Amino acid sequence: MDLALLTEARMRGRIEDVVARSRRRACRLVPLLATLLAAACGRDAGAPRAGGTVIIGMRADFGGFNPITNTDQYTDEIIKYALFTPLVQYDENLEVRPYLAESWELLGDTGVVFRLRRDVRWHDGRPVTAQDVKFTFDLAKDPATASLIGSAYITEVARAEVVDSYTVRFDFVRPHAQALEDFWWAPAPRHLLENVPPADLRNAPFNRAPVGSGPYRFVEWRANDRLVLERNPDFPEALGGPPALERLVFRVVPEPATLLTELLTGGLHVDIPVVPDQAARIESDPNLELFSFPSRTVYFIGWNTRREPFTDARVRRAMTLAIDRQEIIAALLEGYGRPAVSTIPPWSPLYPEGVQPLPYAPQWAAQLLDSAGWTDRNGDGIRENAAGRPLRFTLLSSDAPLNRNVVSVVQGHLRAVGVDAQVRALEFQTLLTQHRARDFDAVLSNWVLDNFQVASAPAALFHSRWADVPRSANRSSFANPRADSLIEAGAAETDPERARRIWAEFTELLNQEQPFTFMFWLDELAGASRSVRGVVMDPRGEFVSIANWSLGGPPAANGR
Amino acid sequence: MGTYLLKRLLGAIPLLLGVATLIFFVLNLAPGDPTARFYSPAASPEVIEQLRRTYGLDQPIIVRYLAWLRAFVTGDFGSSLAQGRPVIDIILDALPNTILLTGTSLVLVFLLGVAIGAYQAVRQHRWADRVLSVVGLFFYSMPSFWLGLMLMLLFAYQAYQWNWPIALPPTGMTSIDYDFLSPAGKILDRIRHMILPVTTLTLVLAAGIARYTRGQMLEVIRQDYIRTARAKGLPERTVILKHALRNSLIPVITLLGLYLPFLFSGTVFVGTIFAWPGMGREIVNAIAQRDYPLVMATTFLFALLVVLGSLIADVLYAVADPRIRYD
Amino acid sequence: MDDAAPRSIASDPESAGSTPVPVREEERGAIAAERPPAPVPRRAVLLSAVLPGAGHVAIGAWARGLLVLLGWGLLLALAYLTRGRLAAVRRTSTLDDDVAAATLLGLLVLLWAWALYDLLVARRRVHVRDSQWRIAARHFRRNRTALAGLGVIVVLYLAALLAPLIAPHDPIAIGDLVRTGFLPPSREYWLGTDRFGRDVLSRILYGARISLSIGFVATAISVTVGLLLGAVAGYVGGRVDALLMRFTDMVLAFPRLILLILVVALFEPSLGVIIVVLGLTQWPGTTRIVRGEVLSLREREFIQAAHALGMRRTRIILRHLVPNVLAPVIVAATLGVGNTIVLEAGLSFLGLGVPEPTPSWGKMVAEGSEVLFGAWWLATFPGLAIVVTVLAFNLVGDGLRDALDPRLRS
Repeated sequence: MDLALLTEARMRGRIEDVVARSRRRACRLVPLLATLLAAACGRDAGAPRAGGTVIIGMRADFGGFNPITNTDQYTDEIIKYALFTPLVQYDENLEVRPYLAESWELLGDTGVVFRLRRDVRWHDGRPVTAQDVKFTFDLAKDPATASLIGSAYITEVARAEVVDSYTVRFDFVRPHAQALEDFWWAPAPRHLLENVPPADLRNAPFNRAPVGSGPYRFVEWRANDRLVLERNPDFPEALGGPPALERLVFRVVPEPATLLTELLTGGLHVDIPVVPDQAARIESDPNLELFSFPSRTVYFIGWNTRREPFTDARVRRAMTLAIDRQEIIAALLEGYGRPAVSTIPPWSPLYPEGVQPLPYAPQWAAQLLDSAGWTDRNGDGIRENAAGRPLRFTLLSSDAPLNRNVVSVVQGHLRAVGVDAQVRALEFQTLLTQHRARDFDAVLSNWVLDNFQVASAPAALFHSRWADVPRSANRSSFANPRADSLIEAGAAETDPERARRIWAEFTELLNQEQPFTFMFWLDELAGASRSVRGVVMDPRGEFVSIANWSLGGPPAANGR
Repeated sequence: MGTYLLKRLLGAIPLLLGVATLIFFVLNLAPGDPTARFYSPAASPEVIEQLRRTYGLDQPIIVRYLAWLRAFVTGDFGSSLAQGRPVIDIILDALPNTILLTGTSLVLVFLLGVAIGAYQAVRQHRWADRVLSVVGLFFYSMPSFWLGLMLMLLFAYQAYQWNWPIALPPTGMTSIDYDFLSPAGKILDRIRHMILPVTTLTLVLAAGIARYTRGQMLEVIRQDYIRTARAKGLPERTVILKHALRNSLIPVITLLGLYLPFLFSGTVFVGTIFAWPGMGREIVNAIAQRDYPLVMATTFLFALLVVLGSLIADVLYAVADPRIRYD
Repeated sequence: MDDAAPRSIASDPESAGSTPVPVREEERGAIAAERPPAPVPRRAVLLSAVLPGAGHVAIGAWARGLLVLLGWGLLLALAYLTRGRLAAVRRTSTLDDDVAAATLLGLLVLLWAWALYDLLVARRRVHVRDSQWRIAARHFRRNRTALAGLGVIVVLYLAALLAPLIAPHDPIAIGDLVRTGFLPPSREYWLGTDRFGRDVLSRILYGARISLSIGFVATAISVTVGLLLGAVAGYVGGRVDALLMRFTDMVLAFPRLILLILVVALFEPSLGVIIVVLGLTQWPGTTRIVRGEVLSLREREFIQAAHALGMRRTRIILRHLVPNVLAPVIVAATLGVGNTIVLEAGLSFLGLGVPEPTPSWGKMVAEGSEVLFGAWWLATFPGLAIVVTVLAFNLVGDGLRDALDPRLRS
């Protein structure tokens, strides 16, 4: 099997040479397409070889490659950038640009009509049509599939209608901000999935041998071992054309130390994700390049606003003031993180520039606690209230190393202002159960943004509608009428400038109320051999430019 | 013998059912939600509820138990919730890797353990015996995960740092570029990956076998027939190898049966540290994800092997020692 | 044993020496060593009351005297060096500090009292009757490796109890992460510091309490359960036996690690839960040993006699059976402590141990393994502590087995 793959790869490599040469000619001959082909031609600049295999090391295995049911982040990137074709994509400024939909027409605030490309085909040769888009939309709307698309993207979209084979119309539930971003998802092939009952979609055999429409085709997936993709020679030139690489091999290696060793010795081209402790080692190697870019993950401590002493906003604010978040970023993340102030990421176009996070000010925290009635009355170093109840609570975290380390440091910081935080690191599932049942005082948790729409996280985390609903995300039971109206106004505001002002006001409110102490936005880290060209990594993900990757020269590390 | 076997096997059925039932209830009572990975945290509670219905998690535990039992009796292990593929596929993927690791270790453990134990018995109370005893006890006292880490530190990290010729890969079963190696290179690559985990297991386990062999051997040497053999004037070598060692090996070999479950589950610790893609890792992951069908299947198979193993041990004992009869 | 006291008053060396005691050849040496020396002069006793050990030196028992003197001196030196911390005990009054201060005081008193007792009473005593235990003790005392193990265990327990006094740094307080984190071993931090700038040596000393108390208490639970179930099964027999043994088989067939993981997930992991869980899953081995022993004892005459006398079953089990199967159980228990410590470390390694910030050896190894290649000392030293402790218990267990089993004595 392996040998066969190898020979096949070599043969295809030769064919690839011819194709690449012809593409280079196309670049010269057709100046009209120059803008669209810029990426494709640009990667020829470093005289890379066409063909070749890039090996990517991953820490965990992928989920099933089904655009509707997948929830795993890396799988999502493979679906969106390699295997399938979403209706729209983001450019490097996080503006929506056409992809599968070559153009669109907004029907005021009430809907949108997408015109699809006619040259995109499923890897089995059938064209991708409006029927597939509607089919995917309807399945995602079906609660039985519990689709991430359904809960994160199209909540404000009421229905889809096929106008003709390559035209589809969507009606909105109500006017809302960033409406085009509702459509950053890829259609699934109707002809292969229409006989699968929605409830069984998650276990469909399709997910383990997907037929996609993107620049790479599925070859093989061995669980917990490897995923192999190959270039799709029929991928339309207008979308970048067939990739230069012949093959992508993703290897699953759970140990970060092994991944690093393999990267250093040339066994791997790309290592995702790197842990902060390893960053310096990669940076110092001349053959390797370290990529660090803002992630979509924010860490925070959620306070249970229904429990003493966190019913009092002053106490919550004092906690935030007493925690030195810069030290945590410097010591535990090696500096690869940035302070957070809300769920709106710093790189978002709607980020409220003017709002500063609360500073690290232990004296201020002490004053706040004094004024809230918590003082050290018996001289044991822990504050008590008038009734003699000590300022003691349990701070939960998962048993992931970073989380455990963060709560340990927080415990020390709080102790310095007379607050006794008892730290418990629970297994993830146990933590989840307690957190959902609101059975906690405080918990270190994180939130991964599903997309770049600003409104979805605040609506789930802070709207009072969810304050008492079991299993909802507002587990701090935060209920504030002003917050509710700001969240609703922000979600409905279609003018970016006004929306930014609303979110600035909301962030200011969070700063005062502190239902969460926002800790930091994590930076993602990845290492790659310099022999791989065209690698771009930014908030859109590690694999955003995977269709443009190529190999320039032999992997230098192998002979070292 | 036949009826004895039949009786033992029949007696094992309620035992295994008991184990499986207990695990089922403990597992289902433990906090957690196997569908937690299936939705975004922003998902609405209705979606979460729907998912639980889809997987039947909203039903009373007794109903779920009966449903599981019904499928289980017909040999249907179900589908993994976390991986979305049949449990049997997962086990068939992981089991060969585990057997490769534990089987190799076991062979070494018995060879090494018996050799050292016998040598110690012959040299009882001499210098070599004492040193080997303490050294053996030293490894016997070691948590396997720590020994593994130390070996990894020395031979996979420092060896690279100091440019030793014997630098070994720290984890995994094959190198990244395994597919591009020559057939001989492939074999060598696999062996290099096996050295550290196999050494860890062997060192920790061989000490126990050596102690046991030594004890058995001392017992046998004290027997009359050894004295007779010596009195006959047989060379000491023949006495030890032919008479003493052979007879003391009988109980040692029956231990093999008791190691059967170990062959299956491997060791969770060594599997975790060396990232060996075997059963140990699957079990730990399955528990962490509350992947009920996978946990149930693996624990049941484990219990089954424990029972079979002790049965095999008894049978081996009877085969090896004609004085023992089961009627 | 009680009959020794009246005899000691009348005893003089000549008469004791001339009394023919029926002993086997190999044991004569040991008896001779215990021949009572000349009556202790008052001077020596007074000396000993002032300075324990000095009395022994005065009467020529150099080895014992110097040993006691050394111990006394070390304890006083410790008290002097830690006088600051001791003075603070009255103010802070945490359980840790109280225990440490009490231990120090108790040890001083104990040593003083023992020196006096040894001079006044024990040295005059003659042991004529040999009990099974006494013979075993004599054999054990001759086993040097086992004695070394015992010594290590004593030192470990002392270290655990005195940890607040002897630990050079606070094991829990988090320092300046950037400046004092991940320091390699140095003169200031003998075994280095961890990510949070905490001294590894201090954490190991404090961690000793977790490992030792879990090992001890959990084994006590499992031995008690195993002893009782085994005795009942073996003695009562019949259906009860069959039922109990099926149950034992089931527990044995249970993948224990999986059970432990699940139970720890079910209940919040705390010291108590972990002790109980470990204790309640370890007993089948003991049960099987005890049942086997009882089965053979049951047919012996003295049990038959107890039957004939109409004694109640519970009384026969508790008074006659249990004491007679103790020997193998003690051995199993000692070895069990070692196993339990390894198992606890394993649970902690998987992240299922005692909660933060309590240091535990297994947890320290786990944390160290995350940065194994960057900070080797973090995983190495706590692991070494586990190995030394478990080795000590296993050495003692082996020694006890050799001493208690007549066939293994040499």
